Amino acid sequence: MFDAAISGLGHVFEIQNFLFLFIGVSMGIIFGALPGLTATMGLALLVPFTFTMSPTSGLIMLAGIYVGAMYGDAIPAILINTPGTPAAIATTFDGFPLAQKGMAQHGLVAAAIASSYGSLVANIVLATAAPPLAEASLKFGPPEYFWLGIFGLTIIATLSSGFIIKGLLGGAVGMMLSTVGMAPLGGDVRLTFGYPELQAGVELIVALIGFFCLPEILSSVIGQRRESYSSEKVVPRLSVIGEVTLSLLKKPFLMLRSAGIGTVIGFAPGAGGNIASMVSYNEACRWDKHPEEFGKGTIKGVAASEAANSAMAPGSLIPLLTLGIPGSPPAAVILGALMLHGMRPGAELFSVHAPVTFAFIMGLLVAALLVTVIGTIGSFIYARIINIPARLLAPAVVFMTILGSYSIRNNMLDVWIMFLFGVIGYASNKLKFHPAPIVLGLILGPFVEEGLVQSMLAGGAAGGVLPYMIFRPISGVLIALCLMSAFWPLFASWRAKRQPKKDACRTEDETDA
Amino acid sequence: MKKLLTVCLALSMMVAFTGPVAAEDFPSRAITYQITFNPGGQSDLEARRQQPRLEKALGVKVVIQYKPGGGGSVGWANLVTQKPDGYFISGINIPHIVLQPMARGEAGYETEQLSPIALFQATPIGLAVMKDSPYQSLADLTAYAEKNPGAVTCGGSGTWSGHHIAHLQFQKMAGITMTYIPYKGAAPSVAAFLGGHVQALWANSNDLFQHKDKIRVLGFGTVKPFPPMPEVPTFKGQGYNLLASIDRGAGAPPETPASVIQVLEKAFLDIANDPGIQAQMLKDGFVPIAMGVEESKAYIEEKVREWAPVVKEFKK
Amino acid sequence: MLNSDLIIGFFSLGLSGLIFAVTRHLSRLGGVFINYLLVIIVFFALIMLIKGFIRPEKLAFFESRVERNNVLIGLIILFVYLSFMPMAGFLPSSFVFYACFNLYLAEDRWSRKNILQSIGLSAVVVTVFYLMFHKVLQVPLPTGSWFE
Repeated sequence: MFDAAISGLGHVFEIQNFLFLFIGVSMGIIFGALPGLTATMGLALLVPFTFTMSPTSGLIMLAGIYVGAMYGDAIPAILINTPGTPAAIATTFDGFPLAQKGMAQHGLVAAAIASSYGSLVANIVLATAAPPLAEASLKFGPPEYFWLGIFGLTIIATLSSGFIIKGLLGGAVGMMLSTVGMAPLGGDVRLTFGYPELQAGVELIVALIGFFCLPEILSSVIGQRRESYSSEKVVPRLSVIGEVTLSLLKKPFLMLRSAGIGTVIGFAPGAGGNIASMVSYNEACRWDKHPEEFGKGTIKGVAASEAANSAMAPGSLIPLLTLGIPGSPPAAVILGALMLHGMRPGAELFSVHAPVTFAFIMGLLVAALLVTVIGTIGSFIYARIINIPARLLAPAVVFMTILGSYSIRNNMLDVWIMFLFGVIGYASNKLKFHPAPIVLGLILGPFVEEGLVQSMLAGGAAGGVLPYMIFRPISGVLIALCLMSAFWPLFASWRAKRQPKKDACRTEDETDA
Repeated sequence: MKKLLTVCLALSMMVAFTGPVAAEDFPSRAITYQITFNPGGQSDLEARRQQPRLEKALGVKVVIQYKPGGGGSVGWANLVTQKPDGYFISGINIPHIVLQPMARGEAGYETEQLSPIALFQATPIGLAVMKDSPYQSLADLTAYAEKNPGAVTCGGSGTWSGHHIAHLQFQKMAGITMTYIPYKGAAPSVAAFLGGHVQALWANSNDLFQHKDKIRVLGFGTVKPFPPMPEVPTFKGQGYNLLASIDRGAGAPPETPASVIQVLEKAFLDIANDPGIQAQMLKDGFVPIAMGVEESKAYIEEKVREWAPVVKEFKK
Repeated sequence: MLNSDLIIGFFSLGLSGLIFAVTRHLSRLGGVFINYLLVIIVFFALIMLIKGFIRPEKLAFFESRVERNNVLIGLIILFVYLSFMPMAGFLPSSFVFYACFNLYLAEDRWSRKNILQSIGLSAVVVTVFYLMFHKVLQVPLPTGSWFE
């Protein structure tokens, strides 16, 4: 295997392949950074271009795009509180406050380094342990997805130390939102109010832009006539890079844990990176010595989120390459590209097509390194973006998000939905009701529902639903995690009574208004 | 109300545009080929294989556009609102376009509204169990299911989909009850099956072909045995008149002029009859077919007749 | 001063009622999750209402009249823009929107310098994005029914 890896590396460094990789990473960053454009779209757009290239070159470019997009989505998350893709939601929690303190460059550099690190770790896992991990990933059945979804929801408990009922209510409403469209089981058309386009449900990115981006603009730029997005001007300096690198190096556990979470969640087929970053953020906050810093602008939060969401990408490729089951939508596009080049997933990929496969994997690795370079250099430029006066920047942002919302499904209704969510998000921020739990519910709803109803069916066939859902090894672990996560705030506040400085992770009162 | 508006819109556009549009000049600008599923899926792959040849045959650019959602219904609902001038076509899938309006009631379109151009790929549906399963044959499975109604779990993709209908039809024919567990797509259902979460799986031929070393296929819903896996018996051969497959083709908005459709039909059929394309399909586990407009229409109507009673019976 | 707990509670109850009404026709499998969620939402909403009466959280929605007017006007501009887009087409309406929005946010609103600046910027920004999305990425954009 090592010789395959080395030869793969050799392929990557061939001049034209390296050029493709560089282009891929750059394009990936752009696609990830523009809210409304996703990694999936970028990949889908470039797959036809790769036909004319050799499989090696084509796949290397695709690798670049995927990795680049996993970093790119942090840029708008930090600068304008809008996750470039759903995977970067948790990056906004600390990224945007950082930018508001004038430390946008810190955030961007931290994101770049953390993204690379996450990618690297996950790639090493992919290259060495893919087949056994893939077999393990198959053990995720309906009950496991259900408990995984519930575990995701327990994050609400730790993320809001305000009145927790508000967060839970938001989560439930979010889950209700996720039921709009075709029922996964039952085939009914639900809550579409006569709009056939809604059969596909509420598009996540549209909801994200609506809940995160617009309220910020409405409240500070329009409502309070703020001059610019941040209260202090950003002055990019070279020393920032060193600063950030050092502080992250001092936190090896944080980095490793975040990357680990990303890889593991990445290879549960379908779970995707959307929740990986939030789980990682939550865990980082839980185990940190100063949890009260989270949510107010600390690079630790950005690093935790970005490392996880970048680790997700190679993680989702594990079941893809070994079993042909894509772990995420971008992975599905890569599957298509593989099939088009005549390469079928499975043992074949690692034996007959080993040179190409390993070139692809090495491409992912090198792309991760490229992200560090491009990201840190780029931070000098991007960080200055928020120095642009708001009256110029905000309309452009609004305009771009409208374009983005429209272009996802080519449908005007999505733009109106974005507008509606923007208004609702603004109102809910004003009512001290943070929209993050709603988004969490929206993402996790499908997992919880599918897991629940499929388990009901299978459990019914097996003789008992509850035993079916509980007495399984992986479910047992997940249930334990849920309980621990749900009751953690009680433990934390008990601890706080003894050491008054500690506090829960993110106060709900910390709204963006 | 929305349907009425749609029909009025379509009619008025037809009136306004079929006049000046000269069919002999077709095609003179880019054609949009809509894929009603996500990129990377099978429909997308086929379209991408066809794209360069279509461009060559028609002499214009073919732009692939994605409009996924609702198992294809969002795309087809969009298709029926487009101008019937031949510059907007879409991939179509049977049984989807038959079952969705039938079972859902408000899918956004009606089966009769889609004007078929051609059908070019058939994906037979088969029923499989794992190699280490106690069921060696279809007879074993049905015997067990008879004694234990509802205990056998069969996975499949979607509700009121090709897999679901095949399951319902088979249950009726064999006089047994099994539990159908729908998944959100073919890939999740295959993953669940390989992980042992369901005992049997209704799956497409290409998925079954891909994993053939790990599974045992109990039957295929074809007339003759499936060429890449000839040792697998057909349902028909085992006494069940079950023909199940997922077919892919292309369609146009309602009222598209016949002359325009003819041009498109020829382009698609030429590709479908190309031996290179056919070999490629077989290699991936699909069955190439080449049905033109009339044949496709007849096939769709036949399927409507076949499935209407099944849907009626099982839809509560 | 608004009682935010009561507002949230009543809104949630209303939402639940609406959803309950429109989902009665669903099949068992399609409706089970929605029913569970409805119960959960109503439960939490009731708790919010109880809290709203016992220990309410009161706050002011808008900090000032000016803020309220600003936000409302901003929303109206957006609403008008989105309504016009299917009619006038993407390019013209976006152009007008950007220019208006820019003007609205500026300090000395109707000065000639500002108007020229807004129009110029609008032309550049809108065109660049339009080209990028429509030509490079081949995303179909609304062409406007007035021009068809």
